[in-house]
Amino acid sequence: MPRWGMVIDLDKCTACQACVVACRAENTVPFAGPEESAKNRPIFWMQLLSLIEGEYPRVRGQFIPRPCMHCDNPPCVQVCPVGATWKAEDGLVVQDYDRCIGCRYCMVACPYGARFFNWYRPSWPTPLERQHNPDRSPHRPPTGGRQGPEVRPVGVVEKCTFCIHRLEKAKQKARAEGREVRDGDYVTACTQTCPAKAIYFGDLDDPTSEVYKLSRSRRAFRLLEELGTEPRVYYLAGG
Amino acid sequence: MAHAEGRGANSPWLQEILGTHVGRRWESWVEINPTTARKLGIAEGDWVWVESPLGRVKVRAKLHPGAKPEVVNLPFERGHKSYGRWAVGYGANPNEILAREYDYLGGDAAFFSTRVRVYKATESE
Repeated sequence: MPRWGMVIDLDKCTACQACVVACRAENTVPFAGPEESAKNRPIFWMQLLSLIEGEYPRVRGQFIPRPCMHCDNPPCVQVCPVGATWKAEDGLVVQDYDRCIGCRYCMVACPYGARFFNWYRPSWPTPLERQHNPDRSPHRPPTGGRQGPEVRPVGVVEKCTFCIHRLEKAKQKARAEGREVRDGDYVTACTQTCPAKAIYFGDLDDPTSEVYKLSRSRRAFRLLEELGTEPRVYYLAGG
Repeated sequence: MAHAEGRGANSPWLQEILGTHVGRRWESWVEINPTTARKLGIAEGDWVWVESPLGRVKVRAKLHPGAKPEVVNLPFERGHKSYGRWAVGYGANPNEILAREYDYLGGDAAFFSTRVRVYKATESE
């Protein structure tokens, strides 16, 4: 079974945030609006983090696109009191909106800030409803739970799913062809849209895959690696 | 990003991602060097006036080490008077205080030569 993972080349990234917008479009994430934004409540499954260090004139800025890390040792799963989030058999950290009670323990536990709470009812004033991803039929993938780009109710936590609905489609196609799903069968929306081609997605265990090679490059590191969360998102920098 | 002479302003998605490095969504900000801000008695997030001989705009202060100590930076793009429900009334337009100067070599508008005064806005303003 593929070990899905992502590699983001920070030397290629131009911080344009096309991934951020593509993710919101793909996964039917509503915009928050000015009032909720002022309370720091907008939802970004993919978010651009910025790190600005130093003093003028020696200032360094680094922009870091941050999806869910789909950790192999996820702190969010450990704290969930109702089992609404777990590690699926293919390794993705999934979230069941029906089970979630909105306690937000997982948001506190996640060191990457990758989880977001639905504070407000999502709204898409006309004509923005046309931006909905047409592929948002309520489906229950074999990983369990209700996931994907279907609109989430108020009071639950949501996060990046590595575009699980695309994975389900790829799996169905692979099944029809009588084979296992493999590297290259699908990519996430952010990977597909990145104009700088800075985001790579694939099977971290397949020695022929690009992410396999890049994640083992000397430039590779992971965010807050020292916490032992074993994130599946690698970053490349300093090349 | 949301640029192109402010034509991207009427999109809620773009309004929400502009200014991600300063944490200001749907509003304008002014980047001030932290040392300069300390001298002016301005703290992070304060409402300040940026005033030139032509007028003044009210924005939030962002203490930004990337700002040159004698220069403050205002973003274009926001403060539309018309152009749609997502664009009107969010933030301030620096064009309102921009000196009517042009670059003598290139003939382009001189965006970086306006002298301004920055001071804290009072509660009632």
